[in-house]
Amino acid sequence: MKDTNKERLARKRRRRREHARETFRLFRKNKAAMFGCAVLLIFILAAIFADVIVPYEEAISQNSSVRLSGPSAEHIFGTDKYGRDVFARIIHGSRRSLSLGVGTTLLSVCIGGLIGACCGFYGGKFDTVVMRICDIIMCIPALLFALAVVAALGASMLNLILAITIISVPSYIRIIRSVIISIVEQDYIYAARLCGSSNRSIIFHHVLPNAMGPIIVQASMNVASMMLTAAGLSFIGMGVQQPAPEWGAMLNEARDFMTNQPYLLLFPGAAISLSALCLNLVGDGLRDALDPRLKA
Amino acid sequence: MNKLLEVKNLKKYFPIKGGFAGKTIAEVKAVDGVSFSIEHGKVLGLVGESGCGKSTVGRVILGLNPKTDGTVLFDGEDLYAVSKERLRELRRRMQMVFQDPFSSLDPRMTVFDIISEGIKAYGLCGSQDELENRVEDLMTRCGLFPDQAYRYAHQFSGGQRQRICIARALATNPDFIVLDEAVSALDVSIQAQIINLLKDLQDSIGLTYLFISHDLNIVQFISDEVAVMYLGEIVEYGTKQQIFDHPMHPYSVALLSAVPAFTKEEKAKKQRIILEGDLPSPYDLPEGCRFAGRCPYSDETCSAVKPEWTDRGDGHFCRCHKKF
Repeated sequence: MKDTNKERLARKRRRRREHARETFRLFRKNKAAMFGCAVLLIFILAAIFADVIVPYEEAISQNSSVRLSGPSAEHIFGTDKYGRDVFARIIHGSRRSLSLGVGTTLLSVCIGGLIGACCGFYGGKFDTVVMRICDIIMCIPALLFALAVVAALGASMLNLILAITIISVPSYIRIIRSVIISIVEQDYIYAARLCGSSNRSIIFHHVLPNAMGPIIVQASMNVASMMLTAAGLSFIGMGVQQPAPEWGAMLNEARDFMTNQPYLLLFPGAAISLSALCLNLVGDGLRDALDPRLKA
Repeated sequence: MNKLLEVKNLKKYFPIKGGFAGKTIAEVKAVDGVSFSIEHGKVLGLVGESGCGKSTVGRVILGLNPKTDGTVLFDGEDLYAVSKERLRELRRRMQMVFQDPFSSLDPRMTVFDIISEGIKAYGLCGSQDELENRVEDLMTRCGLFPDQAYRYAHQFSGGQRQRICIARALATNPDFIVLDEAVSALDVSIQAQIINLLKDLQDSIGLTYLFISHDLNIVQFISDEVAVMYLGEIVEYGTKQQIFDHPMHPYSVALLSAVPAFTKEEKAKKQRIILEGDLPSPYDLPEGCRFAGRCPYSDETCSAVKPEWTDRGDGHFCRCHKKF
C-alpha cells in the first residue's frame, strides 16, 4: 500500500474542495450571473420575510377610499381597483409566483429529462409511442388542457402546478431527447459500452451530465412563461384564488386600467420580467461554471 | 492454427428509409461478405480508401453496430450467439481505440474516471488503493504522468488524448484491440510515438490488433498480415511481404503506388497509377467485379462476372479474374 486510507480520503476531499472552489470562482467572475443572483436573493428574501416587511392584511384588505391611487409616500407602488396596496401584494405575491415558476420548472425538467433521456437513448418503439403522446398533448391548446386538468382536480395551488407541469413536459421531452440523440452517437458512449458499463450507468454518468448545459438554459428561460401561464389560469379563476396576491393575476387585473393607471401594470410586470431575466443570467452562469471545458 | 478472432462472411447493410411509411427503399452494403482471421499475438492491417467499410468492420466485430449476416468467432465463441452475460465477459477482452481522440473522451470526466470506468464496471480491482495504483500504472505505461490523473481530457494535446484512449482500452486487460484509424488524426511526429507505444505494448503483453488504416507506411510497419478492402469486400489478403512486395489485385497495386517515394531510387522505380472513374454507388453495385469501372485492365468478363476469391499460393488470396 502506498498510503493509508486516511491520507487517501483527505486527498479526495481536497480534490473535491478544489473542484468546488474552481466552479465557484468561475461563477463569481461572471458579473451578469452575480447580478442575477443578487436580485433573485432579494426576491427570495422578500418571499421569506414577507410578513416582516408588510403584514399580509395590507395585501388583501380593501379600502375603497384609496382606489386606484398612484404611487405615493403611503402606498409606494399605488393601490389597485379595490384599494389594496400594490407593494404589499407584490411582496406577498412573490411567494406564490416564485414557487409556481420554479416549482413547475423543476418538476417538468425532472420528469421531461428522465423520459426524454430514455427516448433518446433507447429509441425504437418506446420512443415512437412517447413522441406520439407528446404530439397529442401539444396539439391541445396549452391553456385549455391545463384548464381541463384543474377543472377535474379542483382549483388549488398544487393542482395548478400539476396542470402546468403536464402541459410543459412534452416540450422538455422533445428538447432533451434531441440533445441526448446527438450525445449518444459520440464515440465516448461506444467506449463506455466497451468498458462494460450498463445502460443505467451510461445515462447517469455520461449522457445526462453532457446534456446539462442545454437543459439548464431551457429551464431558466421557461420559468417566466410558466409564471405567465399560471397567471392566465389565475385570471379565469382556475389558479390562485382571489384575493390572494400573485404577480400574474395582478397583471391580468391591471389590463383594464392600462391607459390611465399604467403603474398597476408596471410593477407586477417588472417583478416577473426581472425575476425571469435574473434566472436566465444565473442559468447561463451556472452552465458555464459547471462546464469543465471552460476551466483553465 | 490458433485463431483468436475469426470472421466469416460478415455483412452489414444500412437501410435507406423513405416514402410515407418509412419502408426500406435501398440498402447501403457497407460490408458485404468479409472473412478473415487473426492469430494470437498477430496484427492484421485492414487498408482501403475512405468509405470502403473498414471502420464498419471494426464496429460490427465488437458489436457496437449489429451485423446483418455472418459470424464473428472470438476465441471459438460466436459473439452473436452467446448469452448476454457471456458476451459482456468476452467484451472485457476486446477493446477499441477510436479515430477521433476528441469525441472519444467524455469532456465531463477526469482522466482517472475515464481509465477506471472499465476496471470498476468489471470489478477488476478490489480496493480503492488497488484501483489508484492500477490507473497510475496504466498511465505510466502509456507515457502519461500519473499526477495528471485529475485533469479533464480537453486539457491534453491530441497525442496525449490518444494515449488516454489507449490506457482506457488496456484497462480491462484485453487480448484484442481494434485500432480504428488510431493515429490518423495525429501529426506525424506524434504518430510515430503512438505507433511505437502500440508496438511495445504488443511485444510486452502479447496483444492482438486489428489495425484499420489508410496509411500504408504505418500498416507496413506494424502488421503481420494485410487485407485490402474495396467497397465492402476484401479484394486481397496475404502476409505483409506478399502484399507489399507482390501485390496481385490491380486496386492494391494502385493503392501502393500512391505511397509517396522519398529516395531517388524509389522515385525512379515508381510508377504512379492514377485511377480513372468514380466509385460506384454503394447501394447500386455493379454485377461483376466491383472494381471493373476503374480498373485499367478490365474487359467484358470483369463487368459481367463476379471474380472468385482464390488462393494464389501460400495463403495469398485475391479476388480478380486476371493474373498479373
